[in-house]
Amino acid sequence: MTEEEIYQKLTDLFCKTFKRDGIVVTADTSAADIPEWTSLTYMNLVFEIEQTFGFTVKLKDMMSWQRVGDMVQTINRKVNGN
Amino acid sequence: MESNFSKQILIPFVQSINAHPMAPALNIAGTPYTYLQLAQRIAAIRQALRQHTSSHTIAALAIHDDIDTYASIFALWMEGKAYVPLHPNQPLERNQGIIGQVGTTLILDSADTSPFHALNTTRLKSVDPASSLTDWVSTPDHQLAYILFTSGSTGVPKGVTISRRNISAFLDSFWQTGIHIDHTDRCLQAFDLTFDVSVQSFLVALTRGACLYTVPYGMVKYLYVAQLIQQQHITFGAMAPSMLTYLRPYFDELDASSLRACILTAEACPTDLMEEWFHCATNTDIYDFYGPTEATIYCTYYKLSRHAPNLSANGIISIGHPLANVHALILADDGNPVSGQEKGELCISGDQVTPGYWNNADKNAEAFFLHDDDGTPRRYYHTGDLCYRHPSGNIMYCGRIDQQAKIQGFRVELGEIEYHAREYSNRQHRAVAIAFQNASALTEIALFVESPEEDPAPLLAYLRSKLPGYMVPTRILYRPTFPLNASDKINRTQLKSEIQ
Repeated sequence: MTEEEIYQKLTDLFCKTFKRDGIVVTADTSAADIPEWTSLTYMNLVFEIEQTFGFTVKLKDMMSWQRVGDMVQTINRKVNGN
Repeated sequence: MESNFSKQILIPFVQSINAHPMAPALNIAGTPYTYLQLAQRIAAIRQALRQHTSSHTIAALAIHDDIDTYASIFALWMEGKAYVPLHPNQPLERNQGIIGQVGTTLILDSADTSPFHALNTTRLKSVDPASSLTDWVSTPDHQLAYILFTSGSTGVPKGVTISRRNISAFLDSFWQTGIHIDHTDRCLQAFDLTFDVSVQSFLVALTRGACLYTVPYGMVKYLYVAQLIQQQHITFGAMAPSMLTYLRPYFDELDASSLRACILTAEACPTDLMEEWFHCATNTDIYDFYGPTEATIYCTYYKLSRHAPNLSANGIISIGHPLANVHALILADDGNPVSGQEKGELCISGDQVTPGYWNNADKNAEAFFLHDDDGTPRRYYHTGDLCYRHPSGNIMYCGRIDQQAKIQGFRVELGEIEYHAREYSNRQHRAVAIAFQNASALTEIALFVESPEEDPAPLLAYLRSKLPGYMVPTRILYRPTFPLNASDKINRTQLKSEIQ
């Protein structure tokens, strides 16, 4: 899966989880950019990421995610072994 | 003579400053602030308050996750004033409504731009604290310490007033539980300052010279708290069970061995969650503290046992015994104390009980009453919580009275349905039962289960095997995660609104 495809899938998941169309997801996107980003929606987002990309998200993964770029790095590693 | 408020709060806090001026008092978003810095901010704000044109004794305080917000609380207290927190993320109209209800023109805000006509504390230069550490305004204990506005059933927020006597009695009660905090502790502050557990969180730390670690706004709270516990080696903290529920899938990864004591509060505490939390928090004394805002933060507590079974009812840990300055009664519908293990409404009396709701005579007449305790008339507060007393003397929590429903004339405790639904999933999924009126104005029960969608038939069959027919829910609704309200409790109102 290319990084571009990961971003595309994440964009879909963000729009679905945060119930808003047109969310632009970039490497620098963080909780501060999305008002709907709460404990509850974040939990849902993690659930969706696990379902979509087929791996279990660890606590240490989430702790390292300061921005979406960090998230993509983890997904890339788990899915592509990069 | 010193007031109880001075003895319990101001004197110990000043002792913290004098004994450990260069030690961190606050750690906010990773930045430490020493007791000396906190004292300098308090001195600056006190000076500004003395020069302020408003003579109101109650100040509205815009609460931010910064040193000036905490400094403002102590500055106001030292100037003989009380605070009313205003959350900057709440609608402006609601905050203005609160200011209007209190009728104050004294507003403090540390934001660069404030929507209020406020005293901007960040523009104040820090001041040498020397004199302001001893010359606080002598204020009697019946004066207010804070007012917290909670949602009112009429749609207008209602203000719970807490006096200096209330908060002093609370702190006295708290220390009598045997929880020990000193200057080596790193304490968690995971609650919004509009919620009263925040007051316990910062007072317990700052009156003992410990460091308080706050959770910045806009963070995923359970994740930030996990990071604090693991990376900052938090030793003491109060948290809501819901927060642990979020962390539960990650317990095997979380190193919580630094925690010496942990308070679970703000909502019912599930037995199974605590059993798992003990495995994660390996060196921790765990306490279940219960209390409505009207009785000043906590009024009963139960210390859980790591090695022996803990008292529970329907899978919910006992709320234990009253704190030292609290009297508790369980009253039947007729207003008389229940006998034996009968269930009734928990009513609370003592120095921790609020003087009343702010300017709300109707609500005060409804919520408080006098009861004769063996010749001593005492003023009690109706908690609205359904409880019974275990033969050991511990109080068992059975849910809100208004979470009882009458179905076909039978009184149904929704907590019992929730218990069996949790048992069905081997305690893996939370469940919330909600009574609602159907199109024919008949009461039905909907059961929400916190899990991915599945066929409800096996669950219904299980519930039919455990409950009388009238208690079996007519709707089963699955949600991947439950919504929480501002106090981190399951948002039952939102769930109820989702029943079609």
